[in-house]
Amino acid sequence: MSDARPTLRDLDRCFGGAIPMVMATTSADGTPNVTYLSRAHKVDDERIAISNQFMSKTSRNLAANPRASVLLMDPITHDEYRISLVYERTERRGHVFERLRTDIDVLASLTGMQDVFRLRAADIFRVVDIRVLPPNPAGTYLPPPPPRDPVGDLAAMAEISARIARAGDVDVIVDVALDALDQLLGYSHSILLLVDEEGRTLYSIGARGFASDSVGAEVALGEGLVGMAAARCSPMRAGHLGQMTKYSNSMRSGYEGSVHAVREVSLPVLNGAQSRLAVPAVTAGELVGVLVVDSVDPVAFGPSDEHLLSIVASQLAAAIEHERALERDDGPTRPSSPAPPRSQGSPLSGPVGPELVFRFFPVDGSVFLGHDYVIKGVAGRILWSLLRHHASDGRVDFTNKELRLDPTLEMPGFKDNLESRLILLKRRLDEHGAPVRIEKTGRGRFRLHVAGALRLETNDV
Amino acid sequence: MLDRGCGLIVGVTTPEGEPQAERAWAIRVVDEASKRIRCTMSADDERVVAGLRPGRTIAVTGADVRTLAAVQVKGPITWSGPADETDLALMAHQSDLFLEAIHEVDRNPVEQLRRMLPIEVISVEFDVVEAFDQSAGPEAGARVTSA
Repeated sequence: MSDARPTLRDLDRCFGGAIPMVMATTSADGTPNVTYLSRAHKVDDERIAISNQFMSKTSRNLAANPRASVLLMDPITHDEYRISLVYERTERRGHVFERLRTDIDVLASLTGMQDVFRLRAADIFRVVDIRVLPPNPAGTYLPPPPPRDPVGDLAAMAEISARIARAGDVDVIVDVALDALDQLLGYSHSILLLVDEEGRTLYSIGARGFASDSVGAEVALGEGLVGMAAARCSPMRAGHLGQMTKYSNSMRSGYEGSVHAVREVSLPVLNGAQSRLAVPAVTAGELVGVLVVDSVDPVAFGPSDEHLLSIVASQLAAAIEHERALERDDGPTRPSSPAPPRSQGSPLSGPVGPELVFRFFPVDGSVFLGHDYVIKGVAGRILWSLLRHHASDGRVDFTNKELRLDPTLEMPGFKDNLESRLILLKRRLDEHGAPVRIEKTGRGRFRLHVAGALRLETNDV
Repeated sequence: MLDRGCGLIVGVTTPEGEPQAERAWAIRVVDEASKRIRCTMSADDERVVAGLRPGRTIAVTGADVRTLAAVQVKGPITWSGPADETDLALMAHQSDLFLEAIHEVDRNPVEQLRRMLPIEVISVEFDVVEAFDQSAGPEAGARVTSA
């Protein structure tokens, strides 16, 4: 730290919400008030905005005495600053308000409070003095990490673009993109979710770096940080999740009784995750999915990560939509790889081996193998349809086109994501080591492998 | 709350009427009957020290690091002066609990967190006349009956 007075630009990391800020104000009779702040943002080089939710006493004090004092701490170096402020105005709309509102919504979403806990106003203050508090020499100084290398990132982006462009179907696109994020940009924990046909739910189609099941997890649009990124088509970023969740839980307890239980979200969880960034994957003005990265680093992601991942997400969206369009146009007019001859004696083919009891629940399209849940929804109905055909006549080769015409799948007529659903089903079966597998045999064609004798049961309850 | 790791923040008003935010590092009750509390805090900023003269009002908020449940007490300062050995021993103990709680919850290394500790300290005694629930939420700022 140099001897020069710090400026607001030096304090950027302090506004990330990692370490709670402290604010003191004074009433007309000189009685001080001191409280923690939920969020603050830098407005420009001379002003900051502070979220105003519960600060009724602070608001009254500011009306009597516009001066305030705030303690901020850099979450990496642990340098602490005291800034002196003068209250200028309150905003209830506009750019600054929206930035703070997004932060508050992210905070609230961590405990399902997004419909209850909302920003009332953004109080704008002019900064009149910034002082760095003398750090205790007994503590260890950790220098901030170097910024990302823009030239290296640009080269990585070019390589990722090339790899995605070379990928021939959605299955490959997903794998190539997630692998490249890890290998070329260092995002080793990532999830890609796609929007369902109704535009209400996201389902995970692929992930890297998670120990738990990663395919088929569902998130409602608007729910949590990931769902909000989809609903708003805007990147959502949170660091120091432990701190933020703690604050959000504290707010939640204050609303006891007015918060509805949140549906359990089964997205894969990175053990000890402290940072999450979710960016929408949009093409031609349409949301295709959400790309999510996690890290155990409390201050892992910043604006440059948002920019990088937004580019990758857009390319992913465009590539996936392109493949879907080709697949929907499909049919005999498009060149496709010829299906290989029906395999004979494959270890996964034929009605030999153990009895495989599959149960189907029409109410939600869920399929169980024995007592183990496999998949539900459109992908579940597809699996059930394939199993019924195989059980009745031993068929193993299928086409997307015939599936589209199958009324039992309840596919939306105007636009389906059949290919994505098939990939989801294929990955889910692979991930579980199921005795039933799907193998792609060409564009719009696939083969069912069954390692056992099927027994199919339908539960109508 | 103090035994679990508690963050202590202080508000004072300078003679010029300017609020100042600061941290405290130890707190204890010295007289139950008068609700007199003694806390030990940073004296690294002369503006804060100027606000600690007897007769001025102080506000101290204690927050549980794990839950952020918080209580604020306010009252007139009756005495301020150098910290004694008891203050320093209590400060060492309570600041350790505080930093370890932060480390447990947020994973910040304790050795880095020690940069927060003050270099100069001062002790202050004040009588609690008001107490407020300062936990984040719609009830923040509600008066509590017993401090």
